[in-house]
Amino acid sequence: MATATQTAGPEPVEKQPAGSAPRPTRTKRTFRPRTLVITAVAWLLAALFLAPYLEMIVTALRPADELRDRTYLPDKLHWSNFIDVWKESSLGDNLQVTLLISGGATVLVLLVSLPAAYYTARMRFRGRKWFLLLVLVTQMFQPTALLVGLYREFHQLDMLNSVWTLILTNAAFNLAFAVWILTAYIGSIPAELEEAAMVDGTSRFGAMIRVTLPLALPGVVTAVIFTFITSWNEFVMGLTLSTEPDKQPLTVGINNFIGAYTVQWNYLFAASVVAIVPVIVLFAFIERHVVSGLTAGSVK
Amino acid sequence: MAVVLPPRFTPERVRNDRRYRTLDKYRFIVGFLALPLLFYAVFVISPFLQAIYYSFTDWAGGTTANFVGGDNYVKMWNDEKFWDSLQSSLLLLVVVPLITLTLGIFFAYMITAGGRHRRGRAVSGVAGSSVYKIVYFFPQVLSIALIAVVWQQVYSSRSGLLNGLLGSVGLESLEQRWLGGDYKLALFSTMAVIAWSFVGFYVVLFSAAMGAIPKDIYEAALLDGAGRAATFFRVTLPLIWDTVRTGWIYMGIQALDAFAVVLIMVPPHALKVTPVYLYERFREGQFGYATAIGVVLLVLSMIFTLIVMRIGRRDQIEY
Repeated sequence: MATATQTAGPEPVEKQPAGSAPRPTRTKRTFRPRTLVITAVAWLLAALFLAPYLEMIVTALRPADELRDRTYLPDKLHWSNFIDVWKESSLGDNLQVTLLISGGATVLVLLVSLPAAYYTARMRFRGRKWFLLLVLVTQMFQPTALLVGLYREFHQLDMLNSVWTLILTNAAFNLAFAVWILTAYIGSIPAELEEAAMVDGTSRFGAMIRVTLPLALPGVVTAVIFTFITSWNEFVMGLTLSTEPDKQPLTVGINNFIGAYTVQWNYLFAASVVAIVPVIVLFAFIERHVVSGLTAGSVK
Repeated sequence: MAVVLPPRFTPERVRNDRRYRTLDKYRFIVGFLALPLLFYAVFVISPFLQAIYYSFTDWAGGTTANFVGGDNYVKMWNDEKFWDSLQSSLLLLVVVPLITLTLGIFFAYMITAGGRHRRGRAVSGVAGSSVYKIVYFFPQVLSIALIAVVWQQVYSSRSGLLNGLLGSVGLESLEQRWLGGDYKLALFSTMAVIAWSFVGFYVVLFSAAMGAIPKDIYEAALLDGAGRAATFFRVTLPLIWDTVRTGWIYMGIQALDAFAVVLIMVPPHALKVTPVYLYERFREGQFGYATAIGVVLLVLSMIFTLIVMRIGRRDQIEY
């Protein structure tokens, strides 16, 4: 795992050390057809991956009367779509619900997973293997299959349509991943550092807070942002556990547009742009940690 | 919990006093593991167990839930529509991981080892590999609900990007009703979207796994005269096999679910997968029947996992 974390940084793996390449090799730098083909294919694929986003943004800026046109770019950019969709729908409420859910679930996951991960990484206790296995296996359950069971639970507790319901379920679904990543991260920090701090007189708790935690910060940040993004994007539970339109998260609210008689794509996509901007900004923050974070649990 | 805490664990105390050590241990267990376990019990294990129980009842949302034995399962067995949906789901389960993982491994290999041979380097990535990784990974951070919405528009037969593109390069004959018409076409379009949204994840995952392979193994292969293909099949693939297998299981379960994509994107008459069928029964208030379908889905994903573990088993290679 250690090697994966080192080599998987954001910079290209193969960088010629400056000055190590003698001049003559430069002359070999002709474009061979295969290199050209590979680059072309890579760019084409990149375009394929980006095109739907472009479509989303262009449609979001399209005036309503040009929606049926086949011209790719609208005549003029219609920024007021963003304002109109805000005024005419319950998306403001939906955004608020989503913010509460993602924020709440993230805090909850952090509070619960960090101690658990610390303990699992540091202690060899009876049932440690079972605990990790449980974490893995439950990760496999599809939310759809748990849907009715969860619905029944919250129905009995009379908690349907409550923000808390969605905070709790999102936190529960993300717990496994957070524990898994954090266990790997904390496990890679030598326990000797803590022991040294304890010999110097801090308590075990103090050693954890002041020594291990700062060192595990990249892992913590990754787990936090991942939880936030997945809760922000969650759809199935938002759809089933809350039925009142103004208590549903943004992903569900956006899809309520489609149920209407005609789909107003420009509004739909203006709302979608609002929904993805925070995610992309957050992703930009953890992008360099994503690889090491994702592979911490699975690669070795 | 905080009542009987000793004031401070000085090293001698921790080392010498048995009571402190035991207390220390249990304090940690209670404080650190109890909460997550409680969470699991309430929100994952308990709904799961309840689902199993209610699948044997005729619960319809009210206060009564009569035990009806295996009636729901018998009903499922005789339900044509259930079998139709299951057929689609099983096709997704088998085909999607194959497409996605093959593409993921291929791109990852291109990115980590597809570059020109440079002096003194056995393998080298293509220029700008990190940019490609980010771009390919992009769909993974997007909500599957939004992905479905965007692709619905891309596939749209009247104003969609895909038909527009085909029309503009003179291939009008290839324009299709991608989602609303033919079953096979709708299934294929759905597979393409799921593969599209997950490929990036596997490119990143597999290129990390490939990056962890020591360079001298590649150098040795190169010295022995292995070409690119031989290097890939004899060196790279066996060494990342564990990661591939994990990814296979994960992708299969995701494909079996495919709930949001199909529910949002595909008109119900064209294609229905089992989770969507479950959801419709749930909306109709047939909770008992819906949970029975959920249980079958869970059992299917477990069987799938076991099969992949079985046929994917190879000798562990340490490096």
